[in-house]
Amino acid sequence: MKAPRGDEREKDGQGVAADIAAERGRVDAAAEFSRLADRYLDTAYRLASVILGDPTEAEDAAHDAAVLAWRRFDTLRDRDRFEQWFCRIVVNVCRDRLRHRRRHPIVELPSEDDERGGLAAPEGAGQLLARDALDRAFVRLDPDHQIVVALRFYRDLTVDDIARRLEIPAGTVKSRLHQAIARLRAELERQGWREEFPDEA
Amino acid sequence: MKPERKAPIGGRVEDELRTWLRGRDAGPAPDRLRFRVGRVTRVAEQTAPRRIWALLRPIAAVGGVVAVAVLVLLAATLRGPAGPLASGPIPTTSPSPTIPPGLPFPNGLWPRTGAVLAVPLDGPLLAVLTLVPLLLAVLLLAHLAKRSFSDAHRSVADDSDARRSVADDPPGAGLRRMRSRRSSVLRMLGVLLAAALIVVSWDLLQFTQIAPLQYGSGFGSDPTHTLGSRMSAGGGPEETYMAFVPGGQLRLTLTLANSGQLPLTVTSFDTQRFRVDQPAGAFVSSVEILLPAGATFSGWSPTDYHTEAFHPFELQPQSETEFALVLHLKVCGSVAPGPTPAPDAARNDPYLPTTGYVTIGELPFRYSVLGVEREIDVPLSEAIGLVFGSKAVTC
Repeated sequence: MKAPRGDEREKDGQGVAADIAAERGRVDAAAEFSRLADRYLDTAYRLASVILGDPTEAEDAAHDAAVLAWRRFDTLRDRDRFEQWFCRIVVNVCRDRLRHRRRHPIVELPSEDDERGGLAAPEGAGQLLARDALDRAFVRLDPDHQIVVALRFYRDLTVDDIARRLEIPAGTVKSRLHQAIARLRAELERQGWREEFPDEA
Repeated sequence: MKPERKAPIGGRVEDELRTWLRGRDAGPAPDRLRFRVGRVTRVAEQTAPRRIWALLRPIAAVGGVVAVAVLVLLAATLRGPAGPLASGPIPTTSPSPTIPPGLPFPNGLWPRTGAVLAVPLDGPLLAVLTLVPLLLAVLLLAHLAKRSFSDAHRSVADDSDARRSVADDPPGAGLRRMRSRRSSVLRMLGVLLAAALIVVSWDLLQFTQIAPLQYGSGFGSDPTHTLGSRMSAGGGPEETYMAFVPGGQLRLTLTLANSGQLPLTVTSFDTQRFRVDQPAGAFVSSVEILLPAGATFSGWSPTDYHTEAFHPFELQPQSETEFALVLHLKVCGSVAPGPTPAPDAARNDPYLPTTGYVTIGELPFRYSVLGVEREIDVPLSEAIGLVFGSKAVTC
């Protein structure tokens, strides 16, 4: 068997060194990703739970977002922006799930009380019913509108921050917010609720 | 009947939303989620599968838009006026009308205006049309492949789910779990549709043709005015010379062939373009084309069986037909008639004219294929030279 020449040995040595460096880089990246993902997992999970309204589904969404984020981790140049970047992925995953829900809606059957009608709400249950009405109205919103509302009123982000995170124009964020609130208001009124302003209270 | 709910919601919608959304907050991530996310870097390969699509998508979009824009622009700009020939003014004195229309002029792409495509576009257009099913098949297969990639990536996430005992799963179990029976059937139908489109495109490709109307195999000239032929390097005649007869007419028997795979209809002969494009056009007052009245071509015959006035006629694929080309010549004051061959004299081949002469190398015809009207200059197998009696000639 022919012995490898000196330059081939050198080339092989370089190749092995490159492989080792690549593997070390991958291990380093994995460690850094695990650290960052663990650090911002709470934020991502809570945001997903607010948008989706279902802790179990939020878990799946956060996990899917982590898989996607790991796949694209090498495209993230500035690791200091991991939180915003990861949250954007979470939001996108949630949007996909909301759209999937709209395509496969769960139809609620009317309760016996609704069918009978005229049953007055018990004392102290008004707040609960109001939340229930909000829940129904929120679910009817477009997924893009739901996300903007969640970021605005749950995360208390400004319009510009939302625009930056979603990579859409600020005008679009304003328009979506405006439309979302108007639709929520209309839906609540349709359900028989009316808004109470501070001077009315 | 809906229950009466007059109770106020409790405040402004924005404030209620804020409170309600915070109520949906599920709190810190549970440990099982941390465990699942911690496994992500070990289970999922770090790849960026969307990069190819990110590159290809804009290229495909821009390419498609450009292709459509080019086709629309070509269709809008590359069209010329048409209509029954000889209806426009003939620039010089014409002793007789040129080709009689015969039958009503067939409709082209733009029946209202009678416009036709002024460049030979039907060849490439036809090629594009035949490729449409193939392009659709490629797009469909690309879409299916993209969906498969997407499913595969999502199945990795499914496999990495700690709630499943993936160790016992056979390879591809995650992918199978994700795909419903309906989506599998749709995928199968998509593949079958793509295969059918490829077969259709393959069949249509046989109809691809660039310039189906060509010159045929026969050539005959009136011997009373034919002086001889110049031979090509291969030995065959390259140019046939005929004596110019001021005010007279020269008669040739020529052939047209359809080398394509679709029937075509020869709709007209463009006399005006002939007069402008061909060097001999300035010496021709009009052109007449006569079709054989039920006879078949058998070379030059002194008995004139081309008696039928020109009318649009159909040429079947891989067939040819003959016609008589009658050139009505002008009377030009300064042009002397060409040398007259002696009666019953043998052709003087190879012949090289010693005086001035002009040639006719192409015949401009219009024809239609699949309703697309186009113009083409059919190159003759032998050019026709009109030989004058003097060296310098102008008319």
